[in-house]
Amino acid sequence: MNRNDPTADSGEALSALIDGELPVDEAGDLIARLGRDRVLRARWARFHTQRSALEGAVSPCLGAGFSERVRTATEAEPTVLAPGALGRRPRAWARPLAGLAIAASVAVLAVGALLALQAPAPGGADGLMVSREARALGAGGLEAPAAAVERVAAPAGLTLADHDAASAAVRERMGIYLANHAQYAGAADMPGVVPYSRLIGFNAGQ
Amino acid sequence: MGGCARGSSCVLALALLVGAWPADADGRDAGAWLERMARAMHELAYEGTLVYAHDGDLESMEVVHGLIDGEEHERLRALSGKPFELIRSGDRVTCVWPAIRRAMVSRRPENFLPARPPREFASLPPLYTAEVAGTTRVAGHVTQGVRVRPNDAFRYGYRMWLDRDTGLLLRSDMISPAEGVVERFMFTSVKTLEHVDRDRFRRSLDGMDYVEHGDGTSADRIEQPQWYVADLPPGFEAVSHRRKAMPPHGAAVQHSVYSDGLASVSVFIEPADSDAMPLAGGTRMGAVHAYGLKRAGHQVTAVGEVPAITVERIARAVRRR
Repeated sequence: MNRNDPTADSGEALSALIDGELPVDEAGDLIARLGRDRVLRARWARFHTQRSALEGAVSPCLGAGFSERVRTATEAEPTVLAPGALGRRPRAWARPLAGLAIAASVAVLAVGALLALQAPAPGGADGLMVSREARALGAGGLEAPAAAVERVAAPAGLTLADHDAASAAVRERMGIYLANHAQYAGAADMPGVVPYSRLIGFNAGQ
Repeated sequence: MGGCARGSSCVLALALLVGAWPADADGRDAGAWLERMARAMHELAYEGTLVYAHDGDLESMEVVHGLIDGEEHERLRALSGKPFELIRSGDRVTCVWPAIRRAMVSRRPENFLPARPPREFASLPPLYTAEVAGTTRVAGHVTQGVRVRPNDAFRYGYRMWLDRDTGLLLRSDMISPAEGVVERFMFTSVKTLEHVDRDRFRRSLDGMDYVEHGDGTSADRIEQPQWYVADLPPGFEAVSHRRKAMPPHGAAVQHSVYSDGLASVSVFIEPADSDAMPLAGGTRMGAVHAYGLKRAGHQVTAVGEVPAITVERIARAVRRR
């Protein structure tokens, strides 16, 4: 791949973003670009369609053979099929789940809804970044999303991967609790996509 | 959307907020925008791609939503990571794991969230204040910014960007004064639909062999729970209680929900046997905090999208009647 080709670089980055493998600071930049760049958004949507098709998760209304048609039609987009150019970075909270065996008898809701649990950092906010958003909040400003490329806070702390087998049990149970919380407490939550979106994110990211 | 199984509940939650607005034009404007958002998220048909960022991670998902014969339908499908989809039709929620061909169906009791009695806005506790905050573009749409600030440390703040044309919530940041943005939802593409067919809410497993768990029956709602929270943080009230057998032990777990009208906390209480949740102390994931302890032979776990001090205070205040 021609590393000097900005289009190719965007393709790599979009692919990594879809895979959840793009570092958060780079993801923020790319998302901001998506908000500004119509061409990039179209490419993003196309990548998603390709990926869904390749995973066999296309909409039923698209009919049989759609995956193959997409595969044929998108041979000009090799970065989607080989996104490893950026390296497959394990997600921060996927690593603790590696090798975690989940009994089939546990509710299916729990199978995916496992959390990246982190012990609270000693001393509260020690080690936490203070984002521009926090500063803007304090200053009474609300910056434009296109410029808001700062990280979403990644709290410092010990992951439960550092602990013992009980940690796996905590994650397993927390998945069940979270699913129930989303369904039963969601109606008192913010309207919008929030409660179930969390579940989607947790399941996809396990 | 997901939280709006009943549009009236959402509007009520927002109305509660409106009541806490400062009595100025800005506050009234913010309240009007949020009421409009609540209606739009419940009533409009739309589809788009949503990004969810938390803890340095980022997931994307496809969202389809619509109102069919007065019943809200939505489907969320993971576009990154492991295949997973969630389909909601009214109070019935189906989780689907296509890769392992499994589905799980559950249903919230129809009366789980009773309508709250009307309240005088002037007497509401000052939980939050809100203000409008300029316009900008999100996913190609001109949006109105609205900022919601918590008035104490027991809840998070929000910054929201609402489509000026439709009222849809296109981006939402949950903000901790100490940590900044702890969670972000943002549409990278979204469009409203003239109408949406039921076909859009079918499982991707339809027509295939798969294992289905649950029969969609609801849990038992309980009026007088055995366990209660003796000292709730300001503004939080009990919403409802239920009892349901949960895995892995199959024992009945009391699940109580508390809300301040915007944020919510679930409290789970189960016998502290060998299969009980072993959490002792606090933990977190994005904006969601949890705190666990043992009390009178039972495991108590509080979970919610609130700061750590809130779940800890609630868990520590659980008492048995």
